[in-house]
Amino acid sequence: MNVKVQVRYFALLRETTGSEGEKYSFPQGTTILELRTQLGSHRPEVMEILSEARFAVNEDFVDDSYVLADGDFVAVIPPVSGG
Amino acid sequence: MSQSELGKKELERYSRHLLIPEVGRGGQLSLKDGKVLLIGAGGLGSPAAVYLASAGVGPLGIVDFDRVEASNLHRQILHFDGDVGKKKTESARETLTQLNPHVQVITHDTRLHKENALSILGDYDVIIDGTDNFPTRYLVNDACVLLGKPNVYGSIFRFDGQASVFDPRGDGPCYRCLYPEPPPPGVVPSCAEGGVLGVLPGIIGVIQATEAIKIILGKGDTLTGRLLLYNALEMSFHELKLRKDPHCPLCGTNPTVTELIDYEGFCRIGESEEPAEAVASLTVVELKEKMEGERSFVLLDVRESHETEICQLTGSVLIPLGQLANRMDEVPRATPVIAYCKKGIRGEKAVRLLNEAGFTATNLEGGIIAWAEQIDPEMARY
Repeated sequence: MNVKVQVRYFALLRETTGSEGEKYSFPQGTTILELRTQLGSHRPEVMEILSEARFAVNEDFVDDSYVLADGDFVAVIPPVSGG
Repeated sequence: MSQSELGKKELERYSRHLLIPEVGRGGQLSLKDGKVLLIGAGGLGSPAAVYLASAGVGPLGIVDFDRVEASNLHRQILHFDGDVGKKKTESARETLTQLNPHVQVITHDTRLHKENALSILGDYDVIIDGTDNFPTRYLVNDACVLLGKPNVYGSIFRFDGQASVFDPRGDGPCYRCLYPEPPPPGVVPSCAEGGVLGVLPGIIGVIQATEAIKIILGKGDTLTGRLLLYNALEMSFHELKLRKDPHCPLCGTNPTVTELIDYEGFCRIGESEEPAEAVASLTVVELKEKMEGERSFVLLDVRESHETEICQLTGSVLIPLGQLANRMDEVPRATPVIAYCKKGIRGEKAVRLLNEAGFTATNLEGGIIAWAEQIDPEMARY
């Protein structure tokens, strides 16, 4: 059985992909680390930014070992430096 | 330890504050004694400074070493048209003193670095991080944690903004709990590289000013432990819970960063990705001579198309650097190529790509900005 998650891009990721985010379906047990790689393979142009971004699930920051659950809302937030 | 009372003019000026129970006379006196330091008098620092000075917060310190440029004026509301070329600290002092003569403005006309940061920040109660680069962000964060001072964080990119409060006094998380390490150079563009909507820093800078005022008053709930994300195109705010990272190298249980470090090195500034082998280049003066003679070269503009709307050299062929590898067949092989960009960095990369593919390419030193400065003063710069 797969888990369905909503991925939401912020800042540079949204600008580079031209997308606010997408819905994905992953095999059960998929971690944030695997999600990072998967998103990068869908869109190679953001691979570098993805590796610098922090991931939050349901409004709470998580680390790479977090296992995705069905219905998770995943926010991907790259660092922003402008002032 | 109120150093002062409120005079008649101040009572009138701040009367709408005095009417709010959360501020009142006592709160207004706290604001008058509250020492706030703005790191940067730019996009974020400008609106924050204007509201803090108007609200009677002072002494108000400002650190900046830059001078006002025309391209600052669409968002940096401390500076006016006639201020172009002035030191930002001076321009800021003039604006703020006119706005509210009751507020003392202290200027630090210097670059913040690890030798002066602790002594400058140490004199203030609240620090507002309005800097535009990663090394200074990490420096300000680390100095605030080491000094135990609240750091009101804000940053912006195009239509997106972030804000939070990193407050070590209440054992709150710091910037390193959010991003332990800076991104490699070149991955995350600055406002100068990526552009920014002029009103965006207005929103984020005023949020920072609000948080600074709340910290001084000791009222309300600050953004401590929360990261606020704003997008102007959607007009949306998102909030994420930010927790202290027990493994944080600075504020975690076993810190490894116990003093200020070399932040340029930490952010790998000045480190090139590949060994810096010089590529063939020519100056704008040499290019001008060539352009006046018989044109036996291709002038290749490797910037993005929106940059060409500001300025371009006559007779250029546009292929943005990111597309060059896939569009080499559009470049004539028989003629030498002169590549240019804004300041010469992308041009150099383009020349490497072209020469590897068998072209004879040369980079324009200093890019189109050097041309505008030395050859064509009428050309618009950005």
